Amino acid sequence: MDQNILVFNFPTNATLEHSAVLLNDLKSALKSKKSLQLNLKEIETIDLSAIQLLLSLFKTAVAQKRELRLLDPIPSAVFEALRMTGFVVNPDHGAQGLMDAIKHYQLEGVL
Amino acid sequence: MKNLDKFREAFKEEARELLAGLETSLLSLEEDPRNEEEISTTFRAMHTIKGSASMFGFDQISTFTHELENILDRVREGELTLDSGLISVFLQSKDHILDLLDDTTLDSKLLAKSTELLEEAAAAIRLAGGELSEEIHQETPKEALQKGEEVALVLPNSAQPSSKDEKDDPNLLSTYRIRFNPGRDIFENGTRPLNLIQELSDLGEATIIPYFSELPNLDKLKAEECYLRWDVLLTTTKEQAEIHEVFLFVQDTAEVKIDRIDSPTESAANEDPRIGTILVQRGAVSKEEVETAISKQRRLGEVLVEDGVSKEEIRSALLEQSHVKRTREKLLSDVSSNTIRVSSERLDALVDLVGELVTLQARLSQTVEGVESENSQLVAISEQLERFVSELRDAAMSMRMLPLGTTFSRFKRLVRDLSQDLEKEVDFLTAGGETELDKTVIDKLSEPLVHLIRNSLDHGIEVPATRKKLGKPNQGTITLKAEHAGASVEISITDDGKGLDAEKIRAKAIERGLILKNAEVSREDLYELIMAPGFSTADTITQVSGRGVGMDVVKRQIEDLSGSISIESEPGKFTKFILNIPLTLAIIEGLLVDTGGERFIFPLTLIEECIELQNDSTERKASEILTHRNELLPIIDLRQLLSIPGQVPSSQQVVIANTIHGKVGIIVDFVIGGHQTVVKSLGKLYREAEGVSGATILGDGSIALIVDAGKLAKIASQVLTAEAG
Repeated sequence: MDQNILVFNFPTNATLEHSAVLLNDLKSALKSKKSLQLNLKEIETIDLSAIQLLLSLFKTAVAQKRELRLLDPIPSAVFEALRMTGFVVNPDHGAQGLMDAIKHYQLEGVL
Repeated sequence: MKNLDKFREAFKEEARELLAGLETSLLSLEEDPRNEEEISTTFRAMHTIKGSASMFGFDQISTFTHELENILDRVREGELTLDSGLISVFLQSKDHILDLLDDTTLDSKLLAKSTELLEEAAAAIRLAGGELSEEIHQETPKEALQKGEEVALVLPNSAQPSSKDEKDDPNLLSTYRIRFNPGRDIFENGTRPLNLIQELSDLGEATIIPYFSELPNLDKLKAEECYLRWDVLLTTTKEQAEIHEVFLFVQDTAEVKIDRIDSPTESAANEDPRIGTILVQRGAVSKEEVETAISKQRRLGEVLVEDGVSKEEIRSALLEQSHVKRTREKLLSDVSSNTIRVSSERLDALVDLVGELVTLQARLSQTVEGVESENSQLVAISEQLERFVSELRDAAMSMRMLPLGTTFSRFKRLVRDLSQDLEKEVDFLTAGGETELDKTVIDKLSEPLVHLIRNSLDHGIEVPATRKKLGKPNQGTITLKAEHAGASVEISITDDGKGLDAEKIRAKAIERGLILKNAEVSREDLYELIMAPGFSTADTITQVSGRGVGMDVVKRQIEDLSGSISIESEPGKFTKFILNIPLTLAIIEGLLVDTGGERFIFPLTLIEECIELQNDSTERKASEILTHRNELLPIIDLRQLLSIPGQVPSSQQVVIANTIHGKVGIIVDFVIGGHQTVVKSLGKLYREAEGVSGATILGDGSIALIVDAGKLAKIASQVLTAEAG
């Protein structure tokens, strides 16, 4: 494993109750390594607070010129929460599809 | 544009059906003005016509029906009652809408008629003690109609649908823009914004557009704060109030703005909204700013972003444009895909072709019989083809079958209007409206039925004063009933009026030389005389009937349908006209028989059985009685009846048919078997041929006559009666 890469595991319940802790952990993770890989596969429940964290993380990574990748598989709960947020993404395209969608929003200048 | 024309034609068809239903509902409401279901049906029909008319550019209809819908909404709300005055106006309005549907020239007389009817409606409301809205005092119906505007004429509030049974009516669709801007602290009271968006999505078709611009980087983000806001475009049949309910508990922690931005039903055929217009509606830019941007001849979005409009706002406006376009297209697509309307001419052409196919298939079967032993594969193919052709025939015929009830409602209106003219009270009852008949038969039945009903009303039902003297209820009853009777439909029109006066008919018949003075004629036969050309016993000629022109025409029309008509009556009690009409005129299942080398077809559904008949040496009469199954059965010899020459075989067969005139046995040489029969008319020369109703072409190209078994039963009965006399 590359020493510059950190795999960050999201908790099972990515909800408001755990968002403060998650936020701090994400900030630390982003600072600690140049490249961050997000493992979302354990997520069973996710709410808007965690979706905000996830999207903000991507925004921050661009600003801080950090490499950020999503790992497959992405649980359906994540896609469902993104869909309800209004995020247009095809679950069939997995992690790469989600990263492409986020990139698209960023290029459009709306994220 | 061609597609739009198709939709316009489809709308006209649909509108005619809705108007027929509307008439039925109005007539029911006249009897039961508080029937909520009928009120709702009436409102829905009017609303649908209004919406669709607007959608397809029938502005006069749209404006006119909008006013009527407003009145119906007040009825629905219990503010008004549909009394007979208002019902009359609505019935006339229904007729007027039919005229407007066919008006291609924007006839000013029709416009005037719209105004006149709306003024009559207003007068009827005043008469009933109802109040008119403020608008009516500010603008006359005429002015409103001339402007082509949708103004509330008599309804104080807008006619938004509200009753529960309209929720799924696609004609009530609206598209709303819901701007949902949660406060930063919305999470604190336990609110989950995504749950609210989910609730909104459940109300209809939603496009969710998030705004991320407030979302900070992780360093500045507070986990317990909400940074997103949304535009949700929702196309739904729900009302604005129901959408507001979703946000009931976040009124203090969120900004919510709901705007109705489109009605797919009313705007489907319109040009899609322009992005500049959407942005102006949203208040994102002014009209002048859009015009200035357009004048720069660059992409509007780019120019507006340069001018400070947020990319998210423009993106949201683009998605709104796309959502509106999609929902309009979907509605148009739904209109065209639920049913396929096919002109009856095309169906007739299909049935004709199927008829030819049936004939050809019969020829093939006959040809194959000759090679049966040599080519079993050919036989198998022929048999399979026969099955498919039979199924194809049934499928094609079923497409033309329509319930008789579609014409019943027309008669209800006829009875209503006529009874008012004649100052008679009549309850018109119908039964068996679901009974199906071939459309061509139904079309041809309408006229004779109208005549018979008018006759019952004019000559049968007495005026209330007379009925009272006779101890009858003031209100007379006319019953129109239809039911299946084998391959036929039996339709009866019964009135509980004065019945037929046999003696009066006899006197008139003697006077006209139709019968001899001392002739013994049964009551039934006397009744039949009223269908003789020019025969009338009416003392006065009314607008309705009494000229003696009609019953003979009715008889001819029924016989042209290969049907029959008979009359039952009891003086002072009732008169009943019974029509026996074949289900279809095109293709029937027949029984093919041979007599003296000539081929004949019996409609199979009339046939009960076939029995052997051994001939003895005694000469047979044209009509005799046969004892069969302990029953006396009149029999008639087809050979003798039609003067067919040749040697009578020692053994023949009797085809026993059960007809409206009773059972009859018809002697034929031998039965060949079942035969799919494509019915061809006999032509004028053979129209008078007794006992024959049509012809068909057989597989070998020869012609077989179709036997009218009912007529033969009647002839047999008459011959036997004459012999007995």
